[in-house]
Amino acid sequence: MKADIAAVPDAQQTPEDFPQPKRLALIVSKGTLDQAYPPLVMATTAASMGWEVAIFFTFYGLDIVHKDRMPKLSVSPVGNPAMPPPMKKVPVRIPTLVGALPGMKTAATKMMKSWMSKANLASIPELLEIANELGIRMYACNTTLSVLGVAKEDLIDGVGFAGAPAFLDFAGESDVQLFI
Amino acid sequence: MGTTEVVSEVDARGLVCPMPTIRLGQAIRRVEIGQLVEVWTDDPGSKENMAAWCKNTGHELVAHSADDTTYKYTVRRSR
Repeated sequence: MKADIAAVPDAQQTPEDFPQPKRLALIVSKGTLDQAYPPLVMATTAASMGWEVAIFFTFYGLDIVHKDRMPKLSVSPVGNPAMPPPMKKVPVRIPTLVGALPGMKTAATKMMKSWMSKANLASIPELLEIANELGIRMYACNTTLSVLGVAKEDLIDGVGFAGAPAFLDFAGESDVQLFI
Repeated sequence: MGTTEVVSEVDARGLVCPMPTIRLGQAIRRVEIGQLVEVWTDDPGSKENMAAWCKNTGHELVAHSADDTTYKYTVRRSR
């Protein structure tokens, strides 16, 4: 009888419930403060649910993992018609031409950061730290480094380097793939 | 298997997505299999979020309750 029991897979492990962790593959192509959040929120949430996650930073998305540019991610009022009015009591959105005036981007970024802080939203550096802790794989696109003249040393620690074949290889084996 | 005593409490009130589930994940890793973690949050979408998180991680959502401002979830580390 003992032999029979031994032949049965360990019931407590229930491997059939979790044969393989799910996988999330993200391409991050935008480098504004508002566009840095969706991929990092998705990635850290997925990793906290036990998913394997890889993020490929390409073009402006590279700024999110750039040592000097990451703290300066900003929001532009230009070409951003959905941007909320600066003053809640005066429901007037910033016209594009006004948004193009000097100082407006700084003002818009300051405004956005104050809203984020009031809502207790985690900061981008905090989310990147969590991403690292949770073992999220982060890659910078090789081609972008060359095109934008970014050196490997300019990027934060923990970021690897990969190209389209490596992304496709991971994405091809993933359950969810998003281009942001 | 497992106890009914909560050994870890996570006060995620005031925190927005993704932090409540991130904090829950951190707390779960610090307790033994079979032990309970309780999360407090004021996120009105938390019921769906906690259920999805538990479904994906395999941990068990043992109980949940709510008053006017706070939702409470009890999760058992299952693996």
